[in-house]
Amino acid sequence: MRRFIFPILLLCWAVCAFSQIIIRPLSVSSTLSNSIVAHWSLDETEGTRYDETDNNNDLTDYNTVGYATGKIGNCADFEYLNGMEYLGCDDNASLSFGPEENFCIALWWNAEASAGNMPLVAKTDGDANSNIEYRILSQSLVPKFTTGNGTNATTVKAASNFVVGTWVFVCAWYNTTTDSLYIQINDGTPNRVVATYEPHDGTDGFFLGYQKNTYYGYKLDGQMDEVSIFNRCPVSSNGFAMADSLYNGGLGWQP
Amino acid sequence: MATLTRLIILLFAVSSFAQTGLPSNKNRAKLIAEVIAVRDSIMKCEAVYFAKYGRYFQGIPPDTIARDISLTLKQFDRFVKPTDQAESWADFGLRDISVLATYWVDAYDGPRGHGYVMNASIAYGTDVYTLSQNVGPETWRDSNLKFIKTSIVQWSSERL
Repeated sequence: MRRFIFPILLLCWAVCAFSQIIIRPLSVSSTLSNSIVAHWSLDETEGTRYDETDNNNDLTDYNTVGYATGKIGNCADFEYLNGMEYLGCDDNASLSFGPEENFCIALWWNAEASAGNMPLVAKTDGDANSNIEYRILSQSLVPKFTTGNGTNATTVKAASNFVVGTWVFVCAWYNTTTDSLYIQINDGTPNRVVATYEPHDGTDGFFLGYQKNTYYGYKLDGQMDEVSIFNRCPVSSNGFAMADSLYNGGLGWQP
Repeated sequence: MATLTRLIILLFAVSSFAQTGLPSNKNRAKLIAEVIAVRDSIMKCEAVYFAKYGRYFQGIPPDTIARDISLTLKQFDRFVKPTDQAESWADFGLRDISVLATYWVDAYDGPRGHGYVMNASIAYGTDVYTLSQNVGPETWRDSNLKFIKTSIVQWSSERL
């Protein structure tokens, strides 16, 4: 009897291991981690906000961005009346996307004011369409995602708005296959617009809370947390599962 | 001789600033000389401030919109300050001056260290031009002594 125990155990182990490989797909979490090109948890209380990926897109603190309790841990707290508070870094390849590259930007935003143009994420040399590489803007609480080809720009507006005093998840992406821009709020249905003017890979700096050369006309009042950028995007074939995984039932996601 | 040297330095400075893309105007040379003087003042004060506090001073703009180049000199409101900084421009050490342009300073603290960007804006009708001078590690924030035409410059304390 004893001589059968080891082969049986071995067989059981092999079956279990095999079934794990066949039955369990690669988890969403691991695919998120594999495609992430930048993530800022924004837990720092002052100074540099560190990128948690190997791309080292650490963000400089301009004019002392504050902190508060966030969606997960701390968050960055931008105050409108303290001059222009923002975070940023220089242009680099990991944050630049051309028309042949999928990309996705996700973050949590808790607005502290309803009016105004607030650039949550911007890689642009100004407000003109010719300048914008990509941008997520809160325009009087209406979330908008814009990409530009260096001459003109395309914008998609979200199906629902930000809410003052409430953490709202926003996920915006460009899909090369459908050649479209998408923006999703929380776990809602994403809005889509065909990218007549696709993204371009420019040399502008990357900012949270600021867009270059639009001094003081555009500045933030609110709290931001868990900003992620991926070099892949949610797809309709699996019901945009990637966006839902980042929303995570309202709990948020960290790599 | 000393006067001649100063004159040469001023001419050099003015000529180097003349290639800035600013449209011509009777006040342009005066503006350029003013920007140099204010910049030098700010740089001196920032060095003292950093030695004392270990960070650079943030100066918020004293105007709500960029002033037009055709306007006369206006006294610099040295008593404005952000809510999270105790010192105003006056505390910072800026003298009581009257200026054409609007000035502000963004102070930063980044992975490469501390620094600041001094900005000067002036309006030509509906167009606004801004010069940014970086002092510190983030050299990419510097406009290389050029005034850049900007989209919007409005420093209203009220929300848009």
